[in-house]
Amino acid sequence: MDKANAVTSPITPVSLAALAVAAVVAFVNYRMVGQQVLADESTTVITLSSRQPLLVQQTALLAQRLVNAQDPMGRAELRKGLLDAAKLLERIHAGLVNGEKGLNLPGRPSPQVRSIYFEPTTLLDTQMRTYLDELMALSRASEAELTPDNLSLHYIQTTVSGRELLDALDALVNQYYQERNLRISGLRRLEMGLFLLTVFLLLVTVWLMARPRLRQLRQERETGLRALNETIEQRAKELARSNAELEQFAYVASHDLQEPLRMVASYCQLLQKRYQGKLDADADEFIGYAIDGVIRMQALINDLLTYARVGTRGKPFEPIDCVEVVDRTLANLTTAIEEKHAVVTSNGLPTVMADGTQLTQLFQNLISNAIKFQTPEAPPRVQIEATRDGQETAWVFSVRDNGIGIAPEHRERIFGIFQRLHTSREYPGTGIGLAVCKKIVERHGGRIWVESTPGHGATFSFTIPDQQA
Amino acid sequence: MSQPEPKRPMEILLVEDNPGDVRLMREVLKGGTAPHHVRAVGDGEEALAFLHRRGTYAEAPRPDLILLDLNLPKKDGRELLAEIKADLSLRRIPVVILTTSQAEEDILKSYDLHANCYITKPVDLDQFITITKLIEEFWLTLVKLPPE
Repeated sequence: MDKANAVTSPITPVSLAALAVAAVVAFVNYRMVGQQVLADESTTVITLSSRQPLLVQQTALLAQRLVNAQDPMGRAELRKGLLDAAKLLERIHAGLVNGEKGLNLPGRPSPQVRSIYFEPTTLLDTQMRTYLDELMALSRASEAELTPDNLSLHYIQTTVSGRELLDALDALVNQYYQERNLRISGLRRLEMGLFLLTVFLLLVTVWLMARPRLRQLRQERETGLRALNETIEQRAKELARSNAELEQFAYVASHDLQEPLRMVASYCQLLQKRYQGKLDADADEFIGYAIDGVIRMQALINDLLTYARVGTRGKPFEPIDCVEVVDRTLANLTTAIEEKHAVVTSNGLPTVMADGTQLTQLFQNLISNAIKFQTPEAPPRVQIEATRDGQETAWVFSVRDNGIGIAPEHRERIFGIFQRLHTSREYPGTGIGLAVCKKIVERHGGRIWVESTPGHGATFSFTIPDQQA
Repeated sequence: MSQPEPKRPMEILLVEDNPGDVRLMREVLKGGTAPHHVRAVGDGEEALAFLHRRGTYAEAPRPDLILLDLNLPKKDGRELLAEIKADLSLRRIPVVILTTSQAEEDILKSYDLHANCYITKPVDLDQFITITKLIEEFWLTLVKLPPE
């Protein structure tokens, strides 16, 4: 019981550990992935790198306006604006390449970005520095130098209209953008992976927690089933054994009873033979009754033996032609049939799987009953038939007579052992015949019943199921 | 050699444990015609002692016919039959099985053990008398038994 109780508790170290791991994974997902997706540095990188081309164009415009400006006040303002823009551009550029905390720039450019900056095809870094140098130079140039043919201005204008620098900056933005997308989708995948891992771990936990209970339920069910099976098996065995014992008992008892009974009968008869008429009338009568009783008892014991033998001395089933069986039965009953002028007809009799001897006994009991329980008015007419049952799984045999019939209240009783409805004087017999019939039919897996209108004959029917091997 | 000496009574050994049956057999045989002598023993061991003339049976005659019941105390009829039929000096004595058993296996077993015939004791006295008469007529007067 202790073990069973321990098993029912859902909280075990293993399930707790699984739950803890699930919690940790969920937390990691939230902190490391979720936060990163929200506050990603690459967003700043893209924003600032996208400002570079604008700043380049803005500075070129400022440079042009600086040169075009006439009044000194305006020029001073434009110089300052140009210088500020150049410084901002320089700061962004340096921050993108080397990283800068103040702008939230990480630096650490990827190899692709580095190639844009430093490979000979673009040389963005060099271009940018040169451009910035020229901007600085222009912003610091003397008033006299601020002419339309200023070299720095020329360089600046050429750079912007040549678009080499701007294309390189666009390529840079594009590269940052792609890298960011890659990074985000990687993070999303990681997030999804961690989410699935959490779900999995939670499921594992649930399983771990439910498993002992499930196992216990299964075990209980199996144990219950097994116990039930064992009980059923045992009951069946006990029943079979007690049946066999009972049959054996009936057989042995009736067999062993015959022995002393034979003694009583023989000596009563010997007494009668030797001393009839030599004693007195009373003695003769007494001996007569003793012999009557003994003879009746012998008949009963014989019937009991016959009844017991149905179970203990049955033969295996084999294909039996019922036409032959009925012919044999009629041959056995020749005397009775001739005596009573009975007419027995049959048709449609099949071959069935049965114990031939018992089937003969069955027909013989039913036909001899049909002839025996006749009315004084007409000679017995007996009709034997066979049809298939409704489910096509058995043959239904019927033996119909035109005899005295049976009242409805006796239709069950007549199949009991030693049950009689008439005195021996009216119709002789011990009352075993139909009990034997019932036992034979049941041994074949069938059932037997009677339909009758008193005074208008009776029909005894029984079934012999198919495939009785 | 029994026919040329009609005066010598036939020796019948009745192996039967029920004194009532023994007496009944004696009574019924009494009414018979052939001169005979019935000796009864109650079980298989006693029967063997009789046949081998051991102990109190030292003077016992050799039976001309054995009437054997199957169900006997100590050594039962089947064992006794097997021993008689396995013994060269006894096997020629005809053995008639006389029993109440109608069981098929008893009948087959008896003939397998070379019983000379198998008769079921009838329940009715008249039938018993008839059968005893038939046994007497057949085995004591009709058949030619082997010389000793």
